[in-house]
Amino acid sequence: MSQHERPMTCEQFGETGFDFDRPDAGLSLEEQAAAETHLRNCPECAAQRESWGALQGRLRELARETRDAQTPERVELQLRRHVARLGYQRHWQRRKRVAVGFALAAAAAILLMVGVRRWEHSMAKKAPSPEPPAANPPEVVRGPRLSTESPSGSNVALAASLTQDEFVPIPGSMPIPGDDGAIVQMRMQRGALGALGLAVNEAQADEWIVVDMLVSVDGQPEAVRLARTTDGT
Amino acid sequence: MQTELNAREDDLLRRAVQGDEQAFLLIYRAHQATLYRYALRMTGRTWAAEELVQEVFLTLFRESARFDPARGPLGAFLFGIVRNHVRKHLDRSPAEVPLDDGGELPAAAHPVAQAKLSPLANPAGWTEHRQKFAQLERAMLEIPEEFREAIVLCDLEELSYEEAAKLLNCPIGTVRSRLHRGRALLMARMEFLREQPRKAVAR
Repeated sequence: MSQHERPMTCEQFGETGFDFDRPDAGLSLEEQAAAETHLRNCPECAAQRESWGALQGRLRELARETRDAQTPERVELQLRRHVARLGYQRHWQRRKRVAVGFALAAAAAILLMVGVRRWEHSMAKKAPSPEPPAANPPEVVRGPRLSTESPSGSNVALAASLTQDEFVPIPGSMPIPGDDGAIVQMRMQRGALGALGLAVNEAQADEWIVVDMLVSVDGQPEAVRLARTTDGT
Repeated sequence: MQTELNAREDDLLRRAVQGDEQAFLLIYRAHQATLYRYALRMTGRTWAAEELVQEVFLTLFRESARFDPARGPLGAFLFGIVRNHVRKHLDRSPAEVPLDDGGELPAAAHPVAQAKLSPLANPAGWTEHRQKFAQLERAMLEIPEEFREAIVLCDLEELSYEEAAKLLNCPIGTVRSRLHRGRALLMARMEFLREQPRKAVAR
């Protein structure tokens, strides 16, 4: 049995509010009808509603009078200043971030370059060279050898005027009369001949060759030729 | 449609927080009056309302990330902020009752006094007009906050019960009940202020 089938009490009327006939009050038609009936039969609630009607009029008037009330302009000005400050701070923060970014990128690039250089140096030191370069005397000098010794290299290419038949005098060398000297066989890069003053084809400068070096008694190289192999090549 | 509006407000808010003054003004001018009136009617003081509105927007800038357009419009979010600030303000100064002339500000600065009637053109009419509202405003300030809030939203801001319920985050029945009790208390208070004893029962 629904409570609205019985007459509405003053308490229930109060719960519906004084403006029970307001469309948005969320009351059903039955509830509205019950409230109207209660209002007709209860002088106390009717008097209250009448008082409320008068007060509601004043509230509406107050609402009308203050409808255009606005926050004073100084508040807007202060807030605009705050927003401008936010923009300024943000602008500088952005520039700071860009500058820091550039600095970090530059630092990283420098570190990378230094690292690569150091790595290259360390790799060059650590890497076992397949054959010692001729320019390094302690490694290449194996003692005087006869030209008939078999060379370990397989090179037969000629460098400039260098041949297997004749010694080519090294420019600027001063042969000592009566000194036969010694022949030292060594493995070297063709480009190292350039350091002795011989013409070198740059395209073949990296090529490893075995040469017979005619060395005088004072240790100075006097002439050079391509070494002969045991098979005569 | 509403989602689009919310998304637009979200975009404006993001721009405002980044320092875009135009975006800020669009938000501010759309919402300041509602917030100000609510704060003014809840505190009864123009200086407090002014301060609260300013604080609301500063809070908005600080906590803009909390605004989620999917959960509702920016207006409701701002109302939540102003409501919190008003509550804090009233907690700090519960015993203060404004003077009949509208508080510390000169009477002419009060919104009611600024409307229509000029004190110079018709001083007697202006005084009567002013007193009529001063009594009502004073009675409003003397009823508990939750009932006053319902009256402010439904009777002064003229929101529907549903809109008020959404803003207050409570069921419509609660709004209706608070309104009833608030109105009964307000009537009783008005009777008392008029010194006309009458039975106005607040149940």
